[in-house]
Amino acid sequence: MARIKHVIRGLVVVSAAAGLAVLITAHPAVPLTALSASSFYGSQSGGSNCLYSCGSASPSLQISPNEVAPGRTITVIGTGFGQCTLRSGEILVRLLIGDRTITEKGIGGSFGPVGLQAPRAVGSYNVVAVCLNASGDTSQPVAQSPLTVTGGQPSGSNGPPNGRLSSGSNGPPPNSEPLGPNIETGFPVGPVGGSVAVLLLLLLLLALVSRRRRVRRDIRWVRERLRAVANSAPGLPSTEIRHRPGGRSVSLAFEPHLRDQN
Amino acid sequence: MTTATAQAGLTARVLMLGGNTDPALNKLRRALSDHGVLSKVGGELAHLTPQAREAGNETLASVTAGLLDFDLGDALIYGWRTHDRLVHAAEETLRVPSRQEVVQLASHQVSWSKQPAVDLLIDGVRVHTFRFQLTLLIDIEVAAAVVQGGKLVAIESGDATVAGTLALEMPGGDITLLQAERKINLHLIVRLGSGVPLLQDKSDLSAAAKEADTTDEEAVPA
Repeated sequence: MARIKHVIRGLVVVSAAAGLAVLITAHPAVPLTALSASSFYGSQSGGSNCLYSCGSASPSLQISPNEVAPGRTITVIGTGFGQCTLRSGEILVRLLIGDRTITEKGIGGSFGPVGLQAPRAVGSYNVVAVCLNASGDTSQPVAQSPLTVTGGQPSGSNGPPNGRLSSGSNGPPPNSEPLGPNIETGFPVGPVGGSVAVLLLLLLLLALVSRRRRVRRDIRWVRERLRAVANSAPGLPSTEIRHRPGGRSVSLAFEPHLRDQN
Repeated sequence: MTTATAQAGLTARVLMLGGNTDPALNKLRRALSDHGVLSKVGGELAHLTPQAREAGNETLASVTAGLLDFDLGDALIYGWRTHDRLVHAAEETLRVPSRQEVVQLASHQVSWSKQPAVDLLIDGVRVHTFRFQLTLLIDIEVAAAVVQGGKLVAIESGDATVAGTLALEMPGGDITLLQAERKINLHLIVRLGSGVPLLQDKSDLSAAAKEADTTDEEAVPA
């Protein structure tokens, strides 16, 4: 029983540690750059990063603004996406940010401007673009641009400074799609992971409080509930006489002597 | 182990704890605490705060000390009831009421032991039974006992040493809680009153008395 308790206690501690790790690494408040030493995110604001094919036709994302309040809409313009050109001559690009995606078409290797709703959680993000083929398969990320979501109340209405609106209300744009199966987004998973971690932490606290309540049998508990009673049937004592070697007991008997009395 | 001089009305409690006071009880409480007796019971008692554990030890010590409230003289007499010379003297003096025997007891040891128990209850439900082993070893160097009418009526002289041990049975082996030794003067600890019967039970007494009556009846015609 005690062994099972130890195993359960160990599982709780391990789960809590894992949850805490998820909370720390995935929380949107933690800048991604703080967790990665890669120069992948090293560009300055406003510019995009070329992931590969950085020649004259390298894909580029321009986002405006690159610092925005939660839930507000940003404008994205893509250029140099010739590698995403379909047989029809159009390009088909999917943009990803947070847990949202939007698919855009363009001509001549460019698309946009397109409105994209920023995540609702504060933190550092990357707007990532991937190519789509006619059957809907996605490529590896071809371009990305950083976006910072700063403090402030989530917006109830989107008012982009310019360009097309993807949606006039909260929530994902109408043409949002689920993430492709082979997309390495590198997105913050704070909103999901954080919730799981908080849940695990709450479970850990509950376990600790429960254990503490079990441990804290105080002096009052003892005085009110604990009794000791001598067993009413203790049995007879046993006894033994051990004579020392060489010793011998003797007895002298005295009786009244009638003849002497006469 | 301690050695002290004789004391009248000596009980096992006085022998092993030094008295009936609270400080004396602390000796037993400390012994229970040092051996972690309550914690070893497990269950809820394994999760007591230090203060609660001490309170539990105090409760257990108080009841356990009560097990020691018996007279050492009574224990000695209980043992002497198996001493063949004294038993023989008792039978003889019961058979001949006018007869008195003085028994010079050679050096011997009376071993007396008992296994009392203490139940531990939580909310009236027994959660554990502590089984103790209480042992007295009374070493008698020399003593002269006067027996009359089947009873021990006087002790003319006698010096002895009594050693007491209280042990507790535990799963990992017995642990000694208390141990003490004293020199005693027999006539100070044995309360004789009008005489202490030496034969073990009433059937022995009645049998001896019946035999005595028969002997007397047989003697009358002579």
